[in-house]
Amino acid sequence: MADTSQNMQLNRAGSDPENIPRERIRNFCIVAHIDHGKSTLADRMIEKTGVLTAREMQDQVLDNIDVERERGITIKSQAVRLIYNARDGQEYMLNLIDTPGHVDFNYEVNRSLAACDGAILVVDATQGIQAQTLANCYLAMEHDLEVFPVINKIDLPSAQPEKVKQEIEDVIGIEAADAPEISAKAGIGIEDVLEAVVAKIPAPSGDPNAPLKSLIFDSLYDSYRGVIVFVRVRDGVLRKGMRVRFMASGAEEEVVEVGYFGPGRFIPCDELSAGMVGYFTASIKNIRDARVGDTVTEAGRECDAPLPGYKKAQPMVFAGLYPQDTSKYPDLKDALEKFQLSDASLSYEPETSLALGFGFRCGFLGLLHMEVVLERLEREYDLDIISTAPGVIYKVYKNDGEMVEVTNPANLPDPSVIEHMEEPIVSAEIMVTSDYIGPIMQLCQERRGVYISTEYIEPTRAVLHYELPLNEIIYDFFDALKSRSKGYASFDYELKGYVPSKLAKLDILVNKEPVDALSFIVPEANAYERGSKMCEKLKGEIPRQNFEVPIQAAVGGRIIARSTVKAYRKDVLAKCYGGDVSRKKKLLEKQKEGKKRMQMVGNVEIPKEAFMNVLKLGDDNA
Amino acid sequence: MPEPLSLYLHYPFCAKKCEYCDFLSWPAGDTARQAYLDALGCEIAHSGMEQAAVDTIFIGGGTPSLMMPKELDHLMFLLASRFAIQSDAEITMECNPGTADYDKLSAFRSLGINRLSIGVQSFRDDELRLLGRIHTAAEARECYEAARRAGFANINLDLMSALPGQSFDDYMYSLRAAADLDPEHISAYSLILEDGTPLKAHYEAGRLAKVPEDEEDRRMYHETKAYLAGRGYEKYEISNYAKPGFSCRHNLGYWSGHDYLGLGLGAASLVRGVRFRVTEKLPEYLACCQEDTGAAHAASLSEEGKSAASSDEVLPDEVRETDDLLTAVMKTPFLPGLHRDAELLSKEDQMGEFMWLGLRKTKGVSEEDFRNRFGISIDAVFGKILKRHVSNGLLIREGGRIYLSEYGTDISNFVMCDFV
Repeated sequence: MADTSQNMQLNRAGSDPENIPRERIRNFCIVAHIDHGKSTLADRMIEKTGVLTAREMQDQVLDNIDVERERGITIKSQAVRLIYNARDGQEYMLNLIDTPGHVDFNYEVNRSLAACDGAILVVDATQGIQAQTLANCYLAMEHDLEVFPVINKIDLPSAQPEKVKQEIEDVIGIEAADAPEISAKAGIGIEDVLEAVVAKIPAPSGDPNAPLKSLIFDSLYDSYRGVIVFVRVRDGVLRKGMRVRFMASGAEEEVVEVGYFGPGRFIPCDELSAGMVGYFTASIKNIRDARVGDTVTEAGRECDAPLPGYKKAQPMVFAGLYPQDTSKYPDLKDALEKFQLSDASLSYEPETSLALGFGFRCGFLGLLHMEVVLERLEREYDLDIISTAPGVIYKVYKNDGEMVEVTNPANLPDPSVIEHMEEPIVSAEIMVTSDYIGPIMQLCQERRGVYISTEYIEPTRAVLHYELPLNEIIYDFFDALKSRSKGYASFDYELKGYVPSKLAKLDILVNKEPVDALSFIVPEANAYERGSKMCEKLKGEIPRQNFEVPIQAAVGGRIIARSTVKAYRKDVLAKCYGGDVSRKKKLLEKQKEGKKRMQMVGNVEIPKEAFMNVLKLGDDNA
Repeated sequence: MPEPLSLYLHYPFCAKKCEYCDFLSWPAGDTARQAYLDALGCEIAHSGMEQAAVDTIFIGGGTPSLMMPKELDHLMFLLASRFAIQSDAEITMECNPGTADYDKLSAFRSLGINRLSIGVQSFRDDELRLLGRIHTAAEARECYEAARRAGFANINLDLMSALPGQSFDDYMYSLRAAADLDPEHISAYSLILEDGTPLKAHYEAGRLAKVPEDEEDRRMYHETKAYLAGRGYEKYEISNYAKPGFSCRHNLGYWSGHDYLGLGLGAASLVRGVRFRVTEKLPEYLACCQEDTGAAHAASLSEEGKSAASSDEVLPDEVRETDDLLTAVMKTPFLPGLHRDAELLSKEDQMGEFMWLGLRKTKGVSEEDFRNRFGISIDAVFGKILKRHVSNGLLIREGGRIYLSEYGTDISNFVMCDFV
């Protein structure tokens, strides 16, 4: 603890970070497989360098969205500046950029990495290398980052740090012999990590006297200050009052505020010079004017060429979102608009459904992203939302040669004009212990996977390479993987492209009326099974009506499955005393309340929850 | 002339609580019963609606036939002093077999009770035991015969269907037995397993045979109607059948939105568009209905501007609000603190109640009555709902009346809840 208090004193004594020379700046991130302890390590480093006292620490300081904290995942990139008094007696400025750990957010990982010069690779000493360890490590290497490993959770009885180090050297091929052995949770070895950051990660290069050249790696919307732009300054200096130019969009603005990142807050300063990471504001109203990946330079003294940007995240999963209370449509619209200001990867456009009214077709990076967005919309904007089944983008080639992209099954052209359809596939890497190879291969088979290869990284562990339709993994693939491997399998994927596929639109008819919100596109071969399942599930969700309600699944007008909700026989208050009027009235009021939560489809009353329950993510294929 | 008033009197005691019973009723000793009757007498003496014309009285419970004739005599005297009971008033008393013999029934008859409602429930002893009734089928017959001999010319028998383990034939046996006795009126309703009753607890613990499925229950229901029609009974409400001219006027009043005043523990009232009820807690009831409280209250009211300040202070706000509302609406003194849950029905509420209560009647509601009562056409208010339920076959609309179809009756809650 001695050097922590020393650090704090230094901070309080007003050590001027702007005077720290570029040679003593380190910009880095932490990459890891989910749950390997990335955020906890970040917390400990913050605590150790004394930015916050231990008492001020709230667990996982960098995860400051409620959903992040509760789920223990990072969604938005976060950054924090640490001042570290190293063993060599020098003061270092460490800019830690926290990155999301989930495969859905690879896009965010990408942009964070672009702001860094090095990365700490955290590997769990009990689990070893997992799929995302590899994926994220390779991503970091692609960005030319200096990567060094850290072995975490060494306090656990099942920790095997030596074995894991060997694995890192064998599989990834980076030096691991002197990797710090730590426990982020118990606070063991944190200083070794900080020292390794100083020793192993290169200082940023760049010329402070050159024209400003800085990269936007993230941005967020603040209702008071407008867009807050996160930048990594490559060359030159970014000053308050400077007129800057966004090279891709061409917009010019005057910098209102410059600053760096304290834990969970922004700290203004006068300037950011080459090598530094920080933020600026410039009364930018629209987040699209400050696109991530764009290069910011000084207006009138522009740099020679923009930095290579990185491509925009493409939504991969689509679903319709509808307010449960149809009158809340404007509220949902408003919420999505605001939401998009802080999450540029969310896309949406209006659509209507006969069953659910007015809503939006939204595009998400993946299923987790979708869940997180839904949860945040419901929580932060107090909305009750019904979502339709998530789907992917299908390419539909028509007889006349035209190709249309379909994200909403309702927009699928008539089968007679379709020449063929294509669906997106991913290359998946599944890391699994040899005991579970069989069940996992079987799972991939069931999900229409095409086996590519198996690669043993050690005698008892292998990486399975598969090509899988994206549509098959957006539901519950991850859960199924976990349950069939007792938690030992890990998974990563990237979009590979489109392949022709025999697909059909499955329609669900309730009392002979198609319910558009329940339509989805399925492989022809699975239509019967999926249709029967939907019919059975819906049967359990639709209350008895005053007539018999057939529920049918149809493909191209052909009924392939059916179930029936029987008419109800009895719903009567047999005896009604005068004195009971109030009590009976309460019963009827309750029943009426129940009816209000119903959605009329044709003349059938379907509880709104039914849509949710039938479409519920996760158990569709269980 | 204002519409006559109905009175309901509650007697909350019984010889033994039945297994299915969730009414406000329990066995009690003589002292408690006497204290209650004293309080009830006090409540009558201080009730509002003084000298209102009364055309029906219903004494329910509990088991009011447990009362001694002299006790009833006193109550009837108090009622006659307080209200203008019409000479042709229908005065019903509930009676359980095993609690009243010929002498007692004769006395009741001579005290003005002119309609007896006998809780027979079943003519099968095994079913009576299951329900926890204190009598056998033979005793029920004896009670009926005794009532006839005592001069009761208007008798109702209560019957229950859908009992655990009851077959269709079991039920029809009881129904036939009831009709064979040739009462003027039969109430036949399916058992509802109410929360908190021993019967429900036993049932849920799996100690009892299954109750009939809904399909079977409805078969019993429809067969009841058909069978009784053949025996000269007309169904005039969801669960009530009567020979011509013997429909229960008191109950019809409930379903037609007539004013009624409830007296006694937990008794509910509808007076001048206000629904309210007497407290369901006996100690509260006894405390409010004491001769000196009542007298003090009356005295304080007579003094201008000093409205029962002492008792008001200790009353919770909601109780005082109920009292204030009642005083404002009734313009007559009430015992302070006695009533609960006063609710002034809006015109919408009243129109809704007119519909869903009215639809309980086989003849349903009359469009003309609706217009006369509310000054607006039924279609202007409920047109859309009516159209929907007519088109899906649950309501029938003809000859200026709207009533439930046969299937509409089976699932009447589904229709009625659209009117609340």
